[in-house]
Amino acid sequence: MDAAKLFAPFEGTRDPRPIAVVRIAFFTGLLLHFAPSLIWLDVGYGRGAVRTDAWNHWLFSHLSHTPPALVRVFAIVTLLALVAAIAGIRPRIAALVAGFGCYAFASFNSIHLQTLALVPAWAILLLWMICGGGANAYAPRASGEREPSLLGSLILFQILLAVLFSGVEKLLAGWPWSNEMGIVLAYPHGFMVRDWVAALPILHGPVMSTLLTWGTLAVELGTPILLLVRRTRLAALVVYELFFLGIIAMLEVPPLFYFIFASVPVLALDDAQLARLTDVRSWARRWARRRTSSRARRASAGSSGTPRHDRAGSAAPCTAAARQGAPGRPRRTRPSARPT
Amino acid sequence: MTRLVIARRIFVVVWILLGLAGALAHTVAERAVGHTIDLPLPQLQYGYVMFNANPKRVPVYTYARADGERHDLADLDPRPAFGYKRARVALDAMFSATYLRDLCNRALTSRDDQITIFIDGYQVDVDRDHPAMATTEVCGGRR
Repeated sequence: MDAAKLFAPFEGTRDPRPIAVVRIAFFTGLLLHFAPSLIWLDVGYGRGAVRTDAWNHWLFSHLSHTPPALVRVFAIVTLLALVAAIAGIRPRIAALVAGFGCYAFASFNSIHLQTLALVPAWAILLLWMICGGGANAYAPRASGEREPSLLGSLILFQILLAVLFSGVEKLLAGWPWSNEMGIVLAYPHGFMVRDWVAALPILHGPVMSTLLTWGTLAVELGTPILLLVRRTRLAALVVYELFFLGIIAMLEVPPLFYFIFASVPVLALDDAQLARLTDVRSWARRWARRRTSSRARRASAGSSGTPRHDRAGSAAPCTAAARQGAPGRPRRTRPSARPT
Repeated sequence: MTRLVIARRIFVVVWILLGLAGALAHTVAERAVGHTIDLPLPQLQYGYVMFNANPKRVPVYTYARADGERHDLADLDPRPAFGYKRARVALDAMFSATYLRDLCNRALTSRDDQITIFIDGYQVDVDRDHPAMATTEVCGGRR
């Protein structure tokens, strides 16, 4: 087997925008997650605060002896590092400081920090510390140069693995036959589900909950694989995004969870797909063409028996000619990978 | 092939294998050896889980002061939680036995202030509309 081909997704360079989007979304999620605890510091980290141990036991035992003023300084430094990472200022150093800060505070007291929401965050932070990068777009000093693929591809692998194995864990827990979504959707007002979910009777029937149970399994087991196949990527991305949008719309989960899981799959798009999706002018042209041609069709339908060029003037024949690749008008070509 | 390329490839392989080990340690290993395998890296500590097993017996927390009007317990926590405030408080209360009392004591505004916390337990697979049990916890006041 050719090793170069095997490692190709982790080598070379790519468009800098997807990883910049992930950088902004991920560190914003982390900031929203930690800021309340780090600003109202006394509630979670003051003397006598109720604490739980979920991450590093040594830090849990020793940080409680740290002077409060020093804890305050650590909190401010952590928050500033998160802001710097969002802005794209020295992202590797920012990730290093923010990562150690967040991990220390989560170890100090995990009670308000939703342990499971943080699992993928540690992986992304660690990767960012090791690989660096992600500031060549959407940053004050963005060069616009292409980014090495390594960081983006490993983050994508990590998140798709998490989604896939969430599905596997569900299978092992007997999901298809236990109608677990029926239990989640039956939660009363005030626990986990949003008010509209608790109030909408259609969601509490067995048909809908069975559909959602099977749909969840299909998305979690299917989209991580389909996102890796070029031909199915865009369709899988739409389904995947709708799935996570559905989760955040129906359940009270931390924004960090959504920001990580919804942003990372954009890393699956290759340069050509990204260029096609983000080429606004191409979208506008396509939309205008469709509008013109449908108007022309309407016009020709309304004038049965009358030659089309006689009634519709120049616009319709011109468009029809363009569609057939008439000489004198440049043919629209598919945008290629955008050089940066 | 340069040393940098080799080092990068080793790193990729190690990272992928560790990720897979973290996933398998909480799925296959649990079935094969009867328990999960603890891996030291933080991202591998808990496996990859999203709502795979959901409790059927769940609490809904509300509180009232002297006027008797009920409010969400989450309103007692001064810290914002964008979009998941009630879930955060409910999970904190479920996982820490002393959390409710701490939250309540912090929210007292004077020596005479008294807060009653209502815990309505729902057995959702039996009746999602009416609580199966209800308890209260009182803090503050001159008791």
